[in-house]
Amino acid sequence: MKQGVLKIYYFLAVITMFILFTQTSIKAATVILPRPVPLQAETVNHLRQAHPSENNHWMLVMFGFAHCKDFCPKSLANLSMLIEAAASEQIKLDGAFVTVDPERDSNEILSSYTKSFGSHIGYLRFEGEDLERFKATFGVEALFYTKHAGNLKNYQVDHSTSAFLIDPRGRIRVIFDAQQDAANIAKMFRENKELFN
Amino acid sequence: MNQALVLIFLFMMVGSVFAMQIEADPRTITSFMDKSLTPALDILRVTTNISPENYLVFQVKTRGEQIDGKNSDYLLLQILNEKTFLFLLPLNKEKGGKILIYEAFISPENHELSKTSTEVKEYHKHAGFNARHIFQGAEFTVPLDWINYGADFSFDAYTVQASLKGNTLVISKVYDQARKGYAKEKRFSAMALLNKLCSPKR
Repeated sequence: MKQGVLKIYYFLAVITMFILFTQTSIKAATVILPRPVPLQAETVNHLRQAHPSENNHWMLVMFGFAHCKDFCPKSLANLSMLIEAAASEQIKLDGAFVTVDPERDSNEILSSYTKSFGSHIGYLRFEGEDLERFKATFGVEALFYTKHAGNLKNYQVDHSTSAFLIDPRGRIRVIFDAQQDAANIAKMFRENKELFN
Repeated sequence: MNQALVLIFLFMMVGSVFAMQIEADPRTITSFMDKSLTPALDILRVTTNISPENYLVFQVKTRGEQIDGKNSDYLLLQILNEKTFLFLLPLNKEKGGKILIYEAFISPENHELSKTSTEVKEYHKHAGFNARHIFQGAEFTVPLDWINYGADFSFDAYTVQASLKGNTLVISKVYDQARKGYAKEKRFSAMALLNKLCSPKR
């Protein structure tokens, strides 16, 4: 009897490992766009709201939410590292964190959250149609789990972890995974100088 | 009892994971198997990826391999990128891997390929397209700078019997379509696809 139970648990463990493996085996990719993708003037103006006095800087943009416990803090720490890496190569770079969850993320929360990752990371908070348009421009999805009338505080948000490197002319130049590929971008700052001239 | 609950939970998890992949992932088309078809004509899935050289790669997998056979049988990749484009590769591996690319004069609103004649124009305006046979399928490669990131984007794959008569591509048979059986064709922005390919884990 005991052996039978063990077999079942062994079978379940194998199935679980298979699911986990198949889900994580897809590799991220860093894409340097051969033809930069110009953003619309409205989007560029929105982006500049994160750093109003720095119009001639490159910008790193990522989406997330301040209540995120795993992906966003790591991604923002990577952004902070990249801003320092860029500065050491004389590349002027700022970061912008765009909340996909404006209902929970007030301006105060976002301000204090982003400041904890450094002064060069600002935030953007849009609501309703403005947020949907902004997300659509970057192809960003956000799925809300267990959010309902009885639970408006402790829900989870599943969102894309891509970051976008935007040049001072408001064109997307590089897309990468803020979780996995930050080291590639730091290397690019050192080795691909012509991109930043 | 506990084991039964664990099993039910696991099956629900597996089900939801695969349902998410099938319904909501712009990177892939999971096609329904059709055992009435010759294995080489039965499309199993279409997946997309970014190559290390920064190309967008469409991999079409079939249930079987076709070494020889009819010269007029093709694996056809259809891409909506502002206009409708058709990429044809002979299924017959002995015929080689020459890719034929056409711009098709099909309404982007209703561009599903059917057993019909389609007016086409050979497409030479952009370099960098490629295709090659792989084991049980083919890979089509398109340059990233060919894509309009502000426009809707979609793709589908077919196995067809086709011939070109002047400016008309005559599709005399559609054996299989990757999206066959799906209620509605999925449209998304090219940026959404690229975003997903860059950060596959959310």
